[in-house]
Amino acid sequence: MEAGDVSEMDLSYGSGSGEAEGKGKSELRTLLERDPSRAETVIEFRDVHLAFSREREVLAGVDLTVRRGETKIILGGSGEGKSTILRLALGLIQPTRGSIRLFGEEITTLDEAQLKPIRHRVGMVFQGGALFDSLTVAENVGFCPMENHGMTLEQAEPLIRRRLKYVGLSDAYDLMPSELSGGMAKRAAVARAMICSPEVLLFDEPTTGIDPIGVRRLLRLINRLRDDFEVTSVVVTHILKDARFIGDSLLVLRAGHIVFDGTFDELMATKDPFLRDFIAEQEGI
Amino acid sequence: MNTVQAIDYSLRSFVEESQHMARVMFGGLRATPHAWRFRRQVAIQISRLGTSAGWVLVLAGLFIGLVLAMEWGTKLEQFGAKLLMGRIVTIGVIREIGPVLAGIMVAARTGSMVAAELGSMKVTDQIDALRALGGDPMVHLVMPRQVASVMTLLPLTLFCDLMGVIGGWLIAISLLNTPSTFYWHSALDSLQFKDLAVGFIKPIFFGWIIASISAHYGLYTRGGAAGVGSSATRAVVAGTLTVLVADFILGKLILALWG
Ligand SMILES: Nc1ncnc2c1ncn2[C@@H]1O[C@H](COP(=O)(O)OP(=O)(O)OP(=O)(O)O)[C@@H](O)[C@H]1O
Ligand SMILES: [Mg+2]
Repeated sequence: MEAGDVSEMDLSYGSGSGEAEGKGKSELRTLLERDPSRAETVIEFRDVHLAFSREREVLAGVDLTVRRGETKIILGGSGEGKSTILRLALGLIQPTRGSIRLFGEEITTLDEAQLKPIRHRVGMVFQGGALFDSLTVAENVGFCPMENHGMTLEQAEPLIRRRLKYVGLSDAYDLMPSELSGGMAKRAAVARAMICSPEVLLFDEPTTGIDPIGVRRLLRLINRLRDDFEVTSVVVTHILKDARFIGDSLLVLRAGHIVFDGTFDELMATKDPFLRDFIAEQEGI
Repeated sequence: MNTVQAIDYSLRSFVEESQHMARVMFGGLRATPHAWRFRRQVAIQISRLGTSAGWVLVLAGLFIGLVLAMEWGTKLEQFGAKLLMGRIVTIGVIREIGPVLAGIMVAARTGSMVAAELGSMKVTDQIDALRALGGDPMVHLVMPRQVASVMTLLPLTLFCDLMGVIGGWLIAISLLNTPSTFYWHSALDSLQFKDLAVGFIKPIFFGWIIASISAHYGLYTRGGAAGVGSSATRAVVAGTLTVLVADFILGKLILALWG
């Protein structure tokens, strides 16, 4: 047992604290395993195209579906548009054409004010952490309760401390982001994304720059959020081992298209030469 | 890509960028009722903007006053009208030179600072993170900078005005042998309310427009660290030019309305 397990006991994602203990797999989870298509669709992309310049379409017709309670992995090479997909899912950028639904609502036609309540149900961990460098770690982590629930820093402190402890950053409360290492910043970003207990969490390469123990803890956290609180996660990663540990299903993105959509075992059994290459490369590392 | 497509594309990006600029200008303005909630950010910005331009403006104002008085004084002396000098220096400094000089200084220093700061936030995804967390960049970032910019430019302008008038006085008593009281009488008697009003309105407007332009370039930054540098440069160029153009337009407008 690793040291991290002790603090993991303290998680209270929803309102109650201890009640989650021993709850184990939820009904939804069982349902999802039996018949995935019956769970509610949380994120849905239909024929999504996106071009930043005239010359090249980054996404050329992407279809994807993420159901409640599942952990979806997005794999793909550098620059293939993985981060872009997460941005689109939050309405941070707009597609050139196509439909994006979040919790059943078409978000491509909404303005910032209309997007706000929907975004509140989603947490995002950006690739580089994206901590606000003029605020302390505590103010960063407590941003959501302070901005959206009118809390003061003092009121939010217990919650912030709990989340910081959860990601193993108890001592970082008063530090500035510039005083954190890359891995610490990433973990603070995870704490910030999950503080308001969102239903969906989007992780952009959450494990890069974190030590192996930290990685396992973070991956276990993602699994636990799913099992106990039915949190839906979309995780961008390029580490196959991590993907296997947390993922229910995977997408592989290449040249603007989803070239694979299925389970881990299906990916391993594939005959597609590109995917075989991709796997071989990953396993070689 | 053929020529028509290229023109179409650059036209589109121009329109897009102009829309963004307008959103920043008025989005920040609309958020000013929240200024009190963000007083800490406003105060931080004021201390950063104010300290960066203060000393430069003291010297710039003084030397402009000296030069102006020297040039005009010797010319006016030929017509036996050197007693008018206080009046010319004061009106010139308060209506035109003070606001423009302070505006340009602030556009140069503040502009690069604000654009670089927001630009680096942009390229490190902090702007998107802010939006994802339910914050509004116009309220959290643009408005405090606009308010701070206006609140620093106004006193800086008045300071610059004062130094200019003092510069004129130094020349008057030393080079032109005008009695001190003559200079001050001529300077103050001729001042009308509308001169002071112009001297006040300009810095308020310039402060707002400078902060808006810089924030626009910062938030519009693309392409990593190199993009941040070019945004800062563009903000300075556009900011200083806009101060001069806006000065002309405002001057014209005020003349038309007030004379
Ligand atoms: N704001 C933008 N303006 C122009 N081009 C962009 C922008 N954002 C992304 N791109 C381009 O879109 C493509 C996909 O970018 P994205 O960041 O989604 O890749 P990624 O799959 O996340 O890569 P990585 O694994 O390196 O993070 C890249 O070619 C990038 O150059
Ligand atoms: Mg990425």
